[in-house]
Amino acid sequence: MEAQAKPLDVFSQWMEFQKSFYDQWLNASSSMFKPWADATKAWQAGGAGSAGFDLFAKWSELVRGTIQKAADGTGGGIGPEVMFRILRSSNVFVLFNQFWLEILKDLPKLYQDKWDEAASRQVYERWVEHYKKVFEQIIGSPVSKTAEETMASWVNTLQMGQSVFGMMGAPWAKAGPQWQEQMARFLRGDWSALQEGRSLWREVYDETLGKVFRMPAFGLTKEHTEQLRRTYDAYLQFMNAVPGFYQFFYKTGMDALKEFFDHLKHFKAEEMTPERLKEVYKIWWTTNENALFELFKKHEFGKAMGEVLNHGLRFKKRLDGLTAEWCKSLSIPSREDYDDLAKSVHELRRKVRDQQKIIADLQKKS
Amino acid sequence: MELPFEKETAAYFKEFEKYNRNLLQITRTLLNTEDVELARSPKDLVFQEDKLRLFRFRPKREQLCPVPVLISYALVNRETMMDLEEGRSLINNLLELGLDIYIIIWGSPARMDRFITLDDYIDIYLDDCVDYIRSERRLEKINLLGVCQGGTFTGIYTALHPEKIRNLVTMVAPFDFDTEDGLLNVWARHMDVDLMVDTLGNIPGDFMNLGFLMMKPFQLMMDKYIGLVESADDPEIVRSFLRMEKWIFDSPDQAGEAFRKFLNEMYKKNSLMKGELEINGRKVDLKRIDMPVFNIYAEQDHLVPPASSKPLGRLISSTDYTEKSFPVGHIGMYVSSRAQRELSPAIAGWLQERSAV
Repeated sequence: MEAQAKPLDVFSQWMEFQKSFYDQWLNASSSMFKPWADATKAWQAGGAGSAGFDLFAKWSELVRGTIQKAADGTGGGIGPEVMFRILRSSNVFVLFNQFWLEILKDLPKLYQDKWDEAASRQVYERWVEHYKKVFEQIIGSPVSKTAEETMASWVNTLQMGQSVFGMMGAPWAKAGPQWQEQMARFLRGDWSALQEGRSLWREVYDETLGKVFRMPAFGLTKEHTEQLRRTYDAYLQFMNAVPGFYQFFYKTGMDALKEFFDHLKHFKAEEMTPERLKEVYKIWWTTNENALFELFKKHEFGKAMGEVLNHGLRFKKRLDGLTAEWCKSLSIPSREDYDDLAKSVHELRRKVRDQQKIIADLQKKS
Repeated sequence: MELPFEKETAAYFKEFEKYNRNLLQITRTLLNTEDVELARSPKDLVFQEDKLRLFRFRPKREQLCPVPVLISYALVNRETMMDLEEGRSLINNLLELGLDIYIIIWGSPARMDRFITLDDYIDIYLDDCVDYIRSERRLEKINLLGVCQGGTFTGIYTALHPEKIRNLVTMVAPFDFDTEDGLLNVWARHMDVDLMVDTLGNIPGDFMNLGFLMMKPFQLMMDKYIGLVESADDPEIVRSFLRMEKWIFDSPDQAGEAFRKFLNEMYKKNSLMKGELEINGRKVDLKRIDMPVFNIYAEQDHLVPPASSKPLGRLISSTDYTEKSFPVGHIGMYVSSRAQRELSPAIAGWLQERSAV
């Protein structure tokens, strides 16, 4: 009876395992969204709780022990041998589940290291090792050389996919904490953080999306795709330059406001006649005007203004090119057609003038 | 019994009432004004080439200066500022003082004119006007008065054709562009002028206006309008304001190629100062200016700072160089009461002394 009770116990443990497996799956999935969960922790009632991976490990040990005890306790003969084989076949099932659990366990890590090629490769290689181990445990012999080569090839392929993903995503992921820090500084009134953030954005953009927008396209729509991408590129660069220009106004405005309030200290509320109010108004606008004039004289401002203007012009130029392309099918002359015509007319005007002068000189001489 | 703050409240109400009365007055004046005219001194069209027109002003009295003077204004904004209205007209004052005046109106470049170059403006259009006057008046040389950018043009032109110019007068004209005193000088260095011209073709007048407004944003975009309400009980003040407003926002586009060369050569490379500027393949050497020169500048000029105008004196070879400044801004040179009183007699007197036949 005791021997019969043992498999039942294994069954009930199996049910527990199913539950645990489900928990692990949920846990792995929630870990993938851990950054979001962390960010929103304050709004979560109990956090993202889990049963823990050690539960399965303990259970697994228990199953092994149970099987061993069952095998030891059944003595010899055909009955015990059959029982042992039955129990061992259930162990195969457990090994497979253990294998998948190991794989699942790495998913959060893979998500966490998605931008890191080397760390991702370590995960893939670990998966291969798990596979080799489970294969050997079940079949009883190591995987073949051919299978090893296949797995190596699979890891390399995954690695290549990860490389492309990493190329595009890694710089943004790396910059994330810096932007957080710059944003915090900016919110505390450190205006240089805004400029740093913009420069970093530009650096990361040039390294990633910028390259995508500027790379050559293929096929029938090659020309149009390239024009479109470069227009996006110009637009994004323009939009990045705009805050750099306006930040000067914010900062100067704040400084001027402080100066204005310093002036106001000398005014008393009970003296506020309409004339005094006009004085205050005059102080307000002249303080702002002077502050802006000093700002405008600075080369940093000129540079930022030039940057916005130049990016705006580049965007307009791209957009004009795109519009001209779209209008090609219409029977209207393009800007380029007009310019060609204007140039010809201009050259003809000059030629006519020169010839008229020559004729006038000849007439004078005759 | 008087309540606390009763007097102050009454004062504010009175002020508010005055403000509203002025607003009503402005509204009445605006409703009864269809348009305001500028440049009303009578003149006749005497020569035309492409969009350029050359006018001769009708004399107001017998001419005291036998050599006519040709005025070359800037391409930016319009020459109407020099003849804004009665009582504020440099042209009218000069005519009253017996000068014989011609003026160039450059016209408004359209898209078709984007290839007009700086060389065209100076060595073709300006030269043709000078030749026309010389031929019509049977004179070997005439007087030239250049204003603002037009002053730079006349300086360059005179260096290229000194044989055609008797006296040169430059007014608020930039020559040295390598200065930190002017906002335009600082800003222009950071602009990609080639990209601008390649993209826009002609440079829109509104773009130029925006730049000028940005130099004094509070004054030009806010306070002057508030100031108008303050002093608008006289309809003539409103009309005068409207004339100025019309002048400010009536800005022709800039021909692309001319703008490109002016900005690149002057503001970025300072070529004229360095003697490296070329017009129609010829180097412009300001040392060739050996005739009398009268250089007038505004002490508080934020567009053409004195540091940009004054160096002309040491760049030319003339032994008769006169310099005069006024304590006004760029626009004040044309419209301020002091300039009205002193500028015209200074120019007319200086020219008369040097124009005897």
